Amino acid sequence: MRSRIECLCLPLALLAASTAHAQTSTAPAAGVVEPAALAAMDKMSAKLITLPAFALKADVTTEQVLDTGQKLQYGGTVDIRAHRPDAFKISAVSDIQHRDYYFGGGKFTIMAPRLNYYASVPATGSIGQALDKLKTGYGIELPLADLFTWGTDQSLRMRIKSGYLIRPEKIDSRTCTHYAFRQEQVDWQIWIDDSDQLPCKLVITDTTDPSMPQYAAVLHWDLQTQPSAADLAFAPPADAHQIMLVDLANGDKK
Amino acid sequence: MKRPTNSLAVIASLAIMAQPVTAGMTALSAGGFLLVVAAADSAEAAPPRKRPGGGSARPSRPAGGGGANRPAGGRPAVRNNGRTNVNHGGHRNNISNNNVNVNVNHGGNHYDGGHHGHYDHHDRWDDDWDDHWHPVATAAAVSLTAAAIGSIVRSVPPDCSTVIVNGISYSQCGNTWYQPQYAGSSVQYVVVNPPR
Repeated sequence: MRSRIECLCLPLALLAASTAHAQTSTAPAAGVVEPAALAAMDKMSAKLITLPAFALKADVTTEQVLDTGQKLQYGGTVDIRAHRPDAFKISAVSDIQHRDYYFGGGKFTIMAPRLNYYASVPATGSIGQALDKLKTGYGIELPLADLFTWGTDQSLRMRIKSGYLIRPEKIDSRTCTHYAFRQEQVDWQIWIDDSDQLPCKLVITDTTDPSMPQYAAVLHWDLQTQPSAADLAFAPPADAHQIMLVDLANGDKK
Repeated sequence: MKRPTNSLAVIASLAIMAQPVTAGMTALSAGGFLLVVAAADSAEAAPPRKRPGGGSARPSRPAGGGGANRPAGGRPAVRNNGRTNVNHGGHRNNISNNNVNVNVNHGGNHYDGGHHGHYDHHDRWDDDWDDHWHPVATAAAVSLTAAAIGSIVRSVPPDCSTVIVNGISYSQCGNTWYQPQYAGSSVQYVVVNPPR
């Protein structure tokens, strides 16, 4: 009799277990944010804003999703040189696109070296304010802009719905602790260097698309190079042509 | 690899006729349009892509339509280039990158009225096919000449020449004049009246 009860219970237990599993995997919104994970982000953010100027080169991969759901991956680099509070040059280069972005001296410039077109618009304030204006006014989002907004935008941590520590891992020669976060429309992972609190790697997963394209960036920091604002200024190449940048807010082409 | 210089503009205008654009509208899917595109230089034309704005909620381009975007014949259109940021600069931007596009709305506002209207072929997912790498030399004779003023294309044929008139850069392709502009990080070309 006893064994017979076990026979009945086991399938029920399995059923309950599988149901629980399905719920956890499909309802991530009810996630837990580990305080340690948030604290690690806070420390990293604090570190980032202490850097008066820096250079970093990121090896990145991006994924395109085709209409069929198939993904294509491309490699590239993102070079960021920044001078706080109000100058940067970011070069985003891949086989499919090359753009250079300049901010400083009261203006923002986008340059496509292969097409030889550039456009400039007025942009003042801090790097963060410029990024905001570029996004809302011109539909331009710079890669790895999070590096500038972490630590300056206090609302960011409120968006995190789930976050936890994974474990220390090796990124190149560095030991970096791996964390995983979820928020609306995006899952992201970050590896933070145990020794200097700088991010080693970032992986962003777009969860709005069933194919979930990922962007991965391995960051190589150069804290010795401290570019001045003058180093980052845009000087148009002699044969480049200036064109307009469409102002989304005004629907203004000009 | 001779190419009809006006084919892009023609494609654009056909697209407009086939399917007038309204705000928020997405992929061009009219069969006639796709047929024309398939006949044109699919590699160079860098034709309209399905706008990824609404993600999967948007209607999909029919499978055959992907041909319009194929740099090499078999590749379907791009619907999403993922995202390169975790955050987007404020709660009002708590939307997918996919929605941050250079869309029909702003362009349409500008070009509507008096013109033929246009469809913004350009989307955020410009991937610089204008950098001219093509695995297959393709050319097709579509010798139409109409180019709707105000229509927008992602690239122009390579044999166009840059002409500066009154300090403004144009790309002149035979009788068709384009004015390049940035829309987001992408370069697009607006068909304009000849400036001279």
